[in-house]
This record gives sequence, C-alpha cells and structure tokens, in this order.
Amino acid sequence: MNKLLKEKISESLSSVLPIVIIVLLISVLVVPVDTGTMIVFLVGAILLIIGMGLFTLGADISMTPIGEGIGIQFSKSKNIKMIALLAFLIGIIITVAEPDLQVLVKQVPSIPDMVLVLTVAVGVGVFLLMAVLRTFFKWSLSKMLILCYGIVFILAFFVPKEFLAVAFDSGGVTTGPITVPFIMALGIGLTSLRSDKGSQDDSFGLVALSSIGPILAVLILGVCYNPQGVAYTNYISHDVITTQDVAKLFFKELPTYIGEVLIAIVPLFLMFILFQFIAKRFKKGQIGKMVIGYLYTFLGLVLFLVGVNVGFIPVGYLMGSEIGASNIPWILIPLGLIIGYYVVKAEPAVHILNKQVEEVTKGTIPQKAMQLCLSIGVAISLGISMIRILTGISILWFLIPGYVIALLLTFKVPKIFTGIAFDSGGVASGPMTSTFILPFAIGACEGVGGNVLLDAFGVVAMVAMTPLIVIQIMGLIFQYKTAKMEAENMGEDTLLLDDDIIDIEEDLDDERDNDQNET
Amino acid sequence: MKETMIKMRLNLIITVVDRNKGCKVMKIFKSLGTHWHYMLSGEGTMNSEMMELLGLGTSEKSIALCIVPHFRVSEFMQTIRRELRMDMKGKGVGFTLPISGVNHPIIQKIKNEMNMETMKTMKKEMEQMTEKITTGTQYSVVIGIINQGYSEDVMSTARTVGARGGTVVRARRVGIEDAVKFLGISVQEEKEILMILTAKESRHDIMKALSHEHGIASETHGIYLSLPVEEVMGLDL
Repeated sequence: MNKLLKEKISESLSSVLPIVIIVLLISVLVVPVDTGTMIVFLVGAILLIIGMGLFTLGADISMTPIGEGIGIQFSKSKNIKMIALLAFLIGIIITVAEPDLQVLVKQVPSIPDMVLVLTVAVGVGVFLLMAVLRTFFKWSLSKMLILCYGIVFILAFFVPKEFLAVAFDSGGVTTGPITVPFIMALGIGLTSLRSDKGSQDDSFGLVALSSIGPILAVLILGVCYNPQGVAYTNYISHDVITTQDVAKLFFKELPTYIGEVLIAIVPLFLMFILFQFIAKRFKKGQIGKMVIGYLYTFLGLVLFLVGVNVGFIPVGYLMGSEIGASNIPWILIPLGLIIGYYVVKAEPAVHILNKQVEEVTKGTIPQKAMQLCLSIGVAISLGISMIRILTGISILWFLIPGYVIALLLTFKVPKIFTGIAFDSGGVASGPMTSTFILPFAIGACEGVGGNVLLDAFGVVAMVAMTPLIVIQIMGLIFQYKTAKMEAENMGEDTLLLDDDIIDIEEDLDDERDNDQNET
Repeated sequence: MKETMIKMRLNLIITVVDRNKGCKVMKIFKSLGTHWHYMLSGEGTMNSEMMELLGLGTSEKSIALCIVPHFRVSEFMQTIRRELRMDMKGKGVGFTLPISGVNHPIIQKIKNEMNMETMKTMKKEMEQMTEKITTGTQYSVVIGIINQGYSEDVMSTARTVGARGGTVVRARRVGIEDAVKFLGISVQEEKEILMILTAKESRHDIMKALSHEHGIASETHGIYLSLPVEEVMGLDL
C-alpha cells in the first residue's frame, strides 16, 4: 500500500486507540454502558480514525501551503497598511466560518446572535492584525500577552461568574481545527524569508494572540449587556436497538456537519483562488493537488465531526454522570487525569501543531516531546476540573494563578517556547474537548449535583491554560540541558581556536608527487 | 608519524531516508563516534504522476550529513545499510563526497578521538590510497538550484532521460541585489535544491535536458551542477 497513506492511518490509529480502550475499560469496570451506546461509540471511533487521517493529509497538502504562501507574500510586500487590512479581513472570515462559534452563540441567549458573532469575529480580526504586525515590527510576544491578559482579568471582575467560564471557553473554541493549521502556516510563512536570529521564534504566537480576541470580545459584551443567564442544551440520548438504528443515527446527523464544514472550508477555498489569481504563486500541477487536498480536508473533517459528535458525546456524558452520582465520585479525579492524557492525542489540530513545531525547529523540539507535554498538561487540567466539580471551588482560584505563572514564565523561558506554549493552548482545546471532555464534565457535575454553569464549563478554559505552563517548563528544562552540554564542551575549547585551513587535495597531490619523485 | 597524520582524507556521507528514520541515522552516527553530523529536512519525489496529484506522491525525508575520515567510510556505510535495511528497495540512499579542504579544528577533533588501533588501520589505508584514487567514480549527484515550485516539472523532465528519483530541499537566495544587477532580470528569492543521484554515464544527458527545458532563461531559472560521488548504497541502478 502507499507509504504515505499507511503512515497517516497508523498515526491516527495510534492517536485514537488509547481513548477507545480507556472508554471500553471504564465501561467494563466502572460504568456499565448499554450496548447500543457502545456500538455507536465504536462506529464513531472508526469514523474518527479515518477522518483524522484524511484531515491531516489534506491539511498538509492544502492548508499549510496556502497559509505559508500568503505569509510569504505578506512578508515580501512593502505596503504595511494593505497587509494589516488583509490580516484583519482574514481574521473575520475564518472566524465567521468557524462552526463552533454557532455553538457558543447558543450558550449565551441574552446577547443577540449577530452582535456576538460580529464582535467575536472583529476581535479575532484585530488580534490577527496585531499578530501579523508583530512579525514585522518584532514586538515582544511576552509583553503583548501580559498586556492583553491583564485587561482580560480586569474585565473579568465586572461580569457575572457564570459568564466567565463561557468567555474563557470562547477563546479555545473559536480557534478550531481548520483555522489553526491555516494561522500557524501563516506565521511560518511570514518569517520564513527572514534570516535573523528571531525568525524562528516569531513564527509562533499568532494562534495565541488570535485566541485572546474572542475572550476580550465576549467579556466586553458581557459588561455591556449584563446577561442574565447562560444556557446550555441538555444531552438527549437516543434509543439504539438494531444495527439499522445505528446507521440511521449517523446518517441523520451527516447533513448538519456537511453543512458546517462546508461553511468553514468554502471561505478558505475562495481565499485560495483569490490568492492564486493575484499572486500566481502555485503551478498547475500544484493547484490540482491542492484542490484535492481541500477535498480530503473536507471529507476528513466531516467524518471526524460526525463520529465525535454522534458517538462520543453520549458516552462522555453517560460516564460522567454515572460516576458523579455513584458512591465513589472521587474516582473522577484519577479518571480525569487518564482521560485527559489520552484524549488530547486525538485532537486533529494537535498533530498539525506538533509537526510544524518539529519542522520550524528542524527537529530540536520533536513531536514526541510536544505530545508528552500536551498530554501531561491536559491530564492536569482535567484532574483540576474534576476537583472543582467535586468541591465547587471557583475557577478564578485556578485561572488567575495559572495565567500569572504562565506569564511570569515568559520572562525566563527562550522566546520560541513562549510562542509555542501560548499557541498550543488554543490548539489543545478543540473538537475532542467540546465533544468528550465537556460532556463528561457536565455529566459529572450533574451527577454530583453541582452548578453546571459555574463548575463544568470552565473545563475548556483549563484545557487551554495548562499547556501554557507545561510547555514553558519544557523550555526551561531544554535551556538547562543546553547550558549543561555547552559547559561540558567548554574544556575542549583551546584547540578549537585554531584558524588554519587544511587543503586535503593539495596534500594528496603533494604526496603523489613525492611518491613519484622517489620512485 | 606526525606528517602522515595531517594528510588524512575526509569524506562527507549524505544519507537520504524517510523522515521518521532520521533520528535512527543520527543515533548510528553518534554511536560510531563522529563529532560532526547534521540533519536537513526535505521531500522525495515519486514515480507516479497520479499519486503525485492525489497528494500521495511526495514523502518527507531526512537528509543526514556526516564528516568521516576516509578509512571509516565503509564501516559507517555498512552499519547504516544494515540498520536501515537499505538492501531492500525504497529504504533510502546514501552516498559519499570527497572533501577537498577543512578548517583545522575539525581534523584535530577527529585525530583526538582516534586510538592506537585506528591509527594502525589508517596507516594501512594511506598505503592503499594511491590505488583508490585511480579507480575513479561511477556515480554523480546532479544538483539543480531552481525557483520554488518547479521541482516537480524539473523532475518529470529528468525522468524522461533516465533519472529515477530526486530529493528536494527548500532554500533561499541571498545577495539578490547583485544578481539583479548582473543578470538584468528579476531574481526570485525562494529556491528549491533538487538532488538526483545518477550513474556517471547518464549525468550528461540529464543535465543537458534540464538545462534545455528549465535553464536560466526559463521561468525555472535553473542552475545545474554535478558533484563526483565516491561510494553509493541503496540504489538499484
């Protein structure tokens, strides 16, 4: 079979299999799940595996080259105002197209839909604009983040507590699986033609800044509108008896997701056509390949979303609520740690992030290291969320110290790690989080009898926060190790100061001449 | 002893393997005890145009470079060939280039790491050296420096004259302002470097075809050169 195809399938298999096995184990040992729901889950998992493989293949072929291409064209242009305007428009377009935004809108009924959508879109547009300008003017990412998060936390005190969780969730939610590869590629393209020292560092940080936009936008709206309540839709379980019921369930949801993914991909596709028309960067063969890449991305994401929304949400919710209501609810904490560790492996955008980090750093930060850090980070975030659900501690007790630590770390850590860390926050909170982790948390909360809006919804915000700390810690370790290695090599320095050049060819010719002269 | 020590032949070993095997090659280099090894990332080209269109054509590669004293080349090559199973098709290729000059610390470091055993082997090697030089090279590596995006076109042309496959690395043209003045044409900054390993007999045809179709005056703005290759592994030519 084709080598690349095999690679992609084995990659997505190894990402999704762990969580499937864990769910199976839990269903056997702790929470019995009716066979109907289990079969739906397994079918969902299969769709996930195929979908993820297709999606990552497609994103590699289409999203990444387009984003990079646009970034490179931007970096070559001298017209800063035009670039700023384009970045702003791109930010708005990709946000409006993001399907998760519609979900967010439903959660906040007291703010008119259009107002919310436009404000969030404008928020992302403004911040993408600033992120692009940052790569031109070489502004410090650390200072920008501190300023923005500072404003966020000041505003946080003026909004009702229930609203806070939703506001933070919106940051993670709006940087979805389609926008993330594109924005990341944009960042890489913007700096690829630079040869200065900071170029690698500056290629990251765009997703980070774009994630703050929605948070600020939602908070500002919260202050203005003073919403009375936050709504969430209850999970309806479907009765599945025969295999036909299973098929019917999936097919019923298919059109919805086809529509959603179309809305998300078509603007990007149009952007591609427009860009190609203006810049004529890609050759005929490449264009054909990229169109097919878009097709793969579309198909892959549809399969993934259908699988995860139909198959995973019910199971997540069921497990959470059963365990929460049982007489050993504390088991939620270790379970949360395990689930969190493995679930982030199945996030499609995480694969793309890890790959791009490895590429940009030329292997210095390998994919395995990134995956480990993200897994540890999400595991901790889920563990903490479970503690919050069981005890009702306010999210601010974790968010504020967490972000303070993350922001303080930016001073000590090599700049590239700051960019990667804050980018990965937006990436880790993706569809898997909202379709498995969140229902699990909501179910657990209802089972325990807590306040869903206060305790469960902050889980996405936690998932978006812990990678910031863990990856920067990896940066510290990396810095320490490099310093140690350099200190070890110092001893041999004396001979390395020699400037002589040895010309081997001349030596050989001389030797041959000498030999000939001698004989 | 001191005079012979300084006249040591060096080679650059270049290995092209799948991206996920890159680390393995680096580990082998480290375990065999070299100090100077580097890694590049590139893409390989595939034979089928249909596969290329479907996006299943190119695969990611790691290109590992290593500076080795000549008498250790076969040791290195054989270890890599064995560990990466290069006797099987499609597992990667490796080749060595002669090094004509190096700055002193490199040789110093290599010498410092040698012990009595290797010194004796080296002395024997020195004695056999005149023979080796006269055997000549059977392979060449054709290197094309072309504008970004044209690697696939250039590769198709190369295939029509017998090239099997190539590896593409991204590159960047520096010092553009001078080039523009000299050549009088606008120079694109983004480049690709295409490396094609070929038998010595074919390289002339390949270079001629590429220069004809994708030369400097064309859109591709291609510059072609060939380097002599000493040893090769993993090719079934």
